[in-house]
Amino acid sequence: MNLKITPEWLRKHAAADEGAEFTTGLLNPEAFDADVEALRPVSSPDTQQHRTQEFTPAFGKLVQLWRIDKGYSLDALAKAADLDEEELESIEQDVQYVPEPRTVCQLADVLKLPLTRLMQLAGLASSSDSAFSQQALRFATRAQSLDRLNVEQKQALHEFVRYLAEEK
Amino acid sequence: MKNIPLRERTAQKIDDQVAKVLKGLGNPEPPLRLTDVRELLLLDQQYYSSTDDGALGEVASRLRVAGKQVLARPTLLVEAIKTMDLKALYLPDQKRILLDKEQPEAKWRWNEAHEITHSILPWHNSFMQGDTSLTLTPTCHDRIEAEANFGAGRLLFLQDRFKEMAQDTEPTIKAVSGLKGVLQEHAHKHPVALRGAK
Repeated sequence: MNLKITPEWLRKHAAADEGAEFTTGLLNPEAFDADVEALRPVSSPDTQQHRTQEFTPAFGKLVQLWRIDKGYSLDALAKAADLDEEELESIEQDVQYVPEPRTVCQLADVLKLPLTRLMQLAGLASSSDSAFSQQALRFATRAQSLDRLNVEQKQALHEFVRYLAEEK
Repeated sequence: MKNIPLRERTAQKIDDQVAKVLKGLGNPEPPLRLTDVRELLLLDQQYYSSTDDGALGEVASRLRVAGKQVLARPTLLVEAIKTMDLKALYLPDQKRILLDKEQPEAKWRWNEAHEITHSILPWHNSFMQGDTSLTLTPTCHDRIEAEANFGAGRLLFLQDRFKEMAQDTEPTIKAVSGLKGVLQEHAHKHPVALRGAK
């Protein structure tokens, strides 16, 4: 089972919050964590593949938000990273897409982030670091794509990039 | 292992690395001498026997760099080779290729070229030298291996040389089969048996 933040899930929670005061971002971090935990796939014989597939939405979001934050177009980032624009588009738009190993290396170089972290996020490697898992899921949920980043998206991006860069 | 198509850009990058190697050797005539390739790349090579745990363990325990043993638990290497049914491996931090001499002789050359390709692709070195607490997914592993296979073919057949030679010969099976002797370096009849690490 893959982790999916579906429209139905969002509608259910929006309905539950009807009439409540709203702020942007997280209403209740503890409730959010509980929801994330509930959506986590149950361990299965193919746990490794499922675990790595959890992160690929975070990888695509990271690349996309970083690109927008730095003012790169898809074409410009593809040129800077010596990659195909078409593959970058797949990374950003298709949560099932698993990039090539070289692609992740190139992006690690351009984004200046640890390769091992990006390997996990991109679905090319797995580890048992549960803190990393939580951070990636939190980021993927908070991140939404827009033409420009609002303050909270910038904050989410910068916090996640800071976390990735602190590779232990 | 199923055939995994490579992106055109990735295939080109691999071919660029192969081209650098061949250029470094002065664009040699076939057959390509892999000893020359290893000398150019400063790669060491040893044979081991996958059917002889004792000999394999001895190789593992004698892997040294600057006089220091590099494997804290040499038996791990033995276990890895047997569990994963490895026919050859490349140790990037030592620039060393290990080949299983129990493989059919006709496969030695291919296995060696495959491991050499791992050594010349920068992203393979990055992946192989990464955090040992990480495990590559089967998908990633298959792609890395497919890339090494592609590179090995480009190396052994001197990129487009085989195609050009084939197109220059008459279009008969006999003529094309005759190219085999031109491209194939004679494999060692008596491989150097388990030399000690330097």
